[in-house]
Amino acid sequence: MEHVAKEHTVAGVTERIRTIFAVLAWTVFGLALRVASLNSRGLWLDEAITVKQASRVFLRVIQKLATGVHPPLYHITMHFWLKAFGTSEVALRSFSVIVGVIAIPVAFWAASRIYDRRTGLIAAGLVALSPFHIWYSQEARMYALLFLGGLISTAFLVLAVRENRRHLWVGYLVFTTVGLFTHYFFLFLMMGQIAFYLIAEAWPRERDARHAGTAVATWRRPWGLFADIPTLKSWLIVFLVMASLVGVWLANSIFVPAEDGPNALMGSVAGSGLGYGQEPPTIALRFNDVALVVVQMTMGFHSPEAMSALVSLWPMLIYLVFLLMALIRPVKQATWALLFGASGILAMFVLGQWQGQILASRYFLAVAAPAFLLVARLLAKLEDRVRKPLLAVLVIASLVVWAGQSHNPRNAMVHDDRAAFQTIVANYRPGDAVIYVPFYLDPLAAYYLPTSIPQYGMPQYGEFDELRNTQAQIDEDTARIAASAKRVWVLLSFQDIGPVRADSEAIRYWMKHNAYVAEKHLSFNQVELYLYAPLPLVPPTFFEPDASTEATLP
Amino acid sequence: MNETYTPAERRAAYLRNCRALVVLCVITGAYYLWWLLFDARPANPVLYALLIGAELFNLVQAAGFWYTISNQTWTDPPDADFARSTEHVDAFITVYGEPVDVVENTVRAVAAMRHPRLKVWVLDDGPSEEIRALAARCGATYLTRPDRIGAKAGNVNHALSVSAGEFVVIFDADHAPEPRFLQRTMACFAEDRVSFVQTPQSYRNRFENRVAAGAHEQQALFYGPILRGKNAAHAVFSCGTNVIFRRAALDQIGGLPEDSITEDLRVSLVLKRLRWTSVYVPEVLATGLGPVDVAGYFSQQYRWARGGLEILFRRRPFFNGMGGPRGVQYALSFVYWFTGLAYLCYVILPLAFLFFDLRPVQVPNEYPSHFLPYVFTTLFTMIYASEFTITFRAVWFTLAAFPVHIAALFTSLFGRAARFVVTSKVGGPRSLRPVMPQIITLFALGIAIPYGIVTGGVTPSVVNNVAFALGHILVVSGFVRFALDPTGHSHTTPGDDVPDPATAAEK
Repeated sequence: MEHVAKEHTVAGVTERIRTIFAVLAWTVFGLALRVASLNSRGLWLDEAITVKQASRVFLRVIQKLATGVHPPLYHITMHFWLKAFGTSEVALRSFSVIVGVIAIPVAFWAASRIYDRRTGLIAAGLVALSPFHIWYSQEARMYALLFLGGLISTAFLVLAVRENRRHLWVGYLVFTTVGLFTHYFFLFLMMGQIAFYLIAEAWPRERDARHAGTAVATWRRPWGLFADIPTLKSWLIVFLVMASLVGVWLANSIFVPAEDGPNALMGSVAGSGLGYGQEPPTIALRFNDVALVVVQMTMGFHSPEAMSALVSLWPMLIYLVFLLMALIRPVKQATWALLFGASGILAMFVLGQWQGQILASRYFLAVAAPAFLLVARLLAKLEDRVRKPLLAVLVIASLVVWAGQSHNPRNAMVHDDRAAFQTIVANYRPGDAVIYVPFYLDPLAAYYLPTSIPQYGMPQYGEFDELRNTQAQIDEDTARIAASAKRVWVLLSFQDIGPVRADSEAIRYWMKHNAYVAEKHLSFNQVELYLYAPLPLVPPTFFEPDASTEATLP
Repeated sequence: MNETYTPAERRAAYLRNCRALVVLCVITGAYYLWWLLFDARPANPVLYALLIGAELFNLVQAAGFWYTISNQTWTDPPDADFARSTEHVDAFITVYGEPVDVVENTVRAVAAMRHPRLKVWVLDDGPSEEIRALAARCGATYLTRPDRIGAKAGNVNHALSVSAGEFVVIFDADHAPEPRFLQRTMACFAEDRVSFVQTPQSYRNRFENRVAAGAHEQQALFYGPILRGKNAAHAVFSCGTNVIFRRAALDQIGGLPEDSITEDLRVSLVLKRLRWTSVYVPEVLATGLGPVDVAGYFSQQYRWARGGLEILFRRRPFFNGMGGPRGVQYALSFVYWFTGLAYLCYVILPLAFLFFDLRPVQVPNEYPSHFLPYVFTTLFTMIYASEFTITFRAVWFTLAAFPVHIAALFTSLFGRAARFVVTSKVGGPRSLRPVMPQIITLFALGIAIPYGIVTGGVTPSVVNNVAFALGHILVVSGFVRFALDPTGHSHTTPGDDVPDPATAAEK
């Protein structure tokens, strides 16, 4: 007997060591994929906004965020991170890389605690290889943290409901609060979790107690519910603490007007994301946007043509459901928790038919966390003969997709403002001025252009903070800038937005009809760059930007 | 197999959830139909008509399914007490060339049924001395006849003429009942107007043969929610085996009708016209052998389709008071056999686009927004209603048999009367001949995909139609694989079985 027990123990230890190595391997591999292509794209607008927000004096960071569109946790963290590591692109993004890599062993922990070791290993692999997760682990924004929060919060909820132990409820409280203070769209996950608790935990327990005749609660003694539902007290405390913390912050964000204009959060909910050039919310069928989110979450980001083709593969979804029919079975409570959490995806799809701005895949990172665990569970339940080759195909496909996503110069998500700004810096001559469109590229311009270069966002703000975007106003402002410069660089981005494109054309029209000639026209991915000089034409000396020179904050 | 019935409180929840899902399906179905009929802009009128026709058919069938699953009833009779009754039961085993060992298994099982006044008859249309000897060995009465007029129905009628029991239980030669078969069903006849009691068919060879497994799974919906729904409308029809008839009912109509190859369906209709009712007991009480090769499966499907459609076209089943819920249920049974034609329309649509750049509607971007909610809610409702027993194999066993269903449709409209063919349980030589229509379809789809890409480029429309074509390839290719290797791993093992459709809720 002792011999058998000893063998059993040895086998267990070997298994544990193998598991640790497997998780470690996924983690190192995931780190390599995230680091290898970290610098393959320049900052995009939101990342530059991170720099702008987090570089302020600490109290000012809080003050601005209190009336801003985002909760404060990420920017506060980044404030100290930037102080410690500087503002280079790599330094900026390395926080997300670390958070993204941490999500790999955490996915293992979550899935193996909820289900089993096999599901855990698959979950870790999925997170390590996911092009979608890799992309946001390389972005200087809060989305990697949002995913991690979603993952841990989901796991703690399942475990807390299952085991009803205090430290698990505390864990749920902490990480759900972290998620909520990272991004408000964590609410979609939380609403699913609340629905799960009420529908799949509290109600069945109360019903069972009634059927068993042991129910204590009555209409006159509702506190009897605490006796009927053992987890209710802990859940309620957690819920109330979270609601208080988030409620105070949210109330401030909603009801206190910003110092420099209307309330930004409510403006972004009822208005249009970037505020200029975006359509206000309208009810419309946005199937392609929904499908694009699904494609991005599964296949990452590629050229517009590839994304369009992938979206057109939607009939395969029907056949996927057919193929998965045999796996769709009545589920246990843990799976209900994940399903309810992931149902936030559906809620966001529905809401997206009104507020189309929601249909951006990055906002789905919190609700994607339980979806990743569900996919891992589904794969783990497949028969060996199907699962093993399927996983091999998934690994190879993920690497191919990662390579394409990282190095495709026509990636639809990349606005190559960095290359355009670096071209300006490399070819700058005293007397040059830079016009960039739209005006809200200012954090990017501030990041990539030295302050010594005169730079103007168009359309400009007027005396009373009104946008000067009529044809006459744009003509007037362009004329004033051109008059003060020997040459004018015109950088045009976000040309897919109608009003922005109209502004851009107005500027180019003015140039063309006021004796300016485009000495140079360069096309970068989704960015156009013109160099205008007054006639007569003086052939310029032109240099390619030096890629090794990394722009830093002025 | 767990034979305990679903507790009543679970049935109520299941039915409530079914109804909630049906409400969702009606909303999404109406939303899609409205768009298709009034908002979609037709491009090619012929293809648009095909799409409309196929979709209307599907919606009618889906609506029928929603209606059926919203009104399910479970018959849960008490065990019959034969000590307090006096009836005699004749058990008929219909034989026509089946292997002796298969028949022996059935005869022994039938003889072992618990009933004090049971007489077992082996009705051999073979005829065969081996079967005669077997009957003698097992204590059964052997009966044969000089001709084969009326096929199985004639065989049974001949036996009815020489037997006298008040009840007649019929088993195909391969369907072996459990000893409690009569105990679990006879109590239903306490109601005077019950003419017959039907129980599910279940294929015991599904563990070693994947065609049998597919045929078993394909019946999941039918012997589950559909027959339970028909039960509520008193529209259960006889399935030819595992069924007990009241002799008085059969006598009133002169025995089983001999003018149809699906005498089971026909007898049900005739009895219903005379105000007899029927009952479905959703408990697997007998197991049989499913078709073991594709040819056998197609032969079975063809016979069922042909028989059903002949009744529809030639016997005017909806005259003489066959209205209301019962009429709806029978109509749905007939409508099912048009599925093949509808599926052919779906196959034609991507072919027309990839080869000829023809499409049914303009603005294809709007299509999925209206179509997918309907498809997904309907699919999920189907999965839920089947109590999570339905499989992809069950779906493609239905869809990919479309050439058989179409052939049955046309021959029943224009062809000669069909003759009864027993489904082979031993399998023939491996051959691709039965699946030639599927091979031609695969060939056309396989050519269309590269042709469409080369001539049309990788545009969203081309990719979209390629996706549909790939889906059809996935569906249609199954039978070709099975024709080449019908005995391949069925992926169904006793320990990890797709629960029996009729008793799935007992999990």
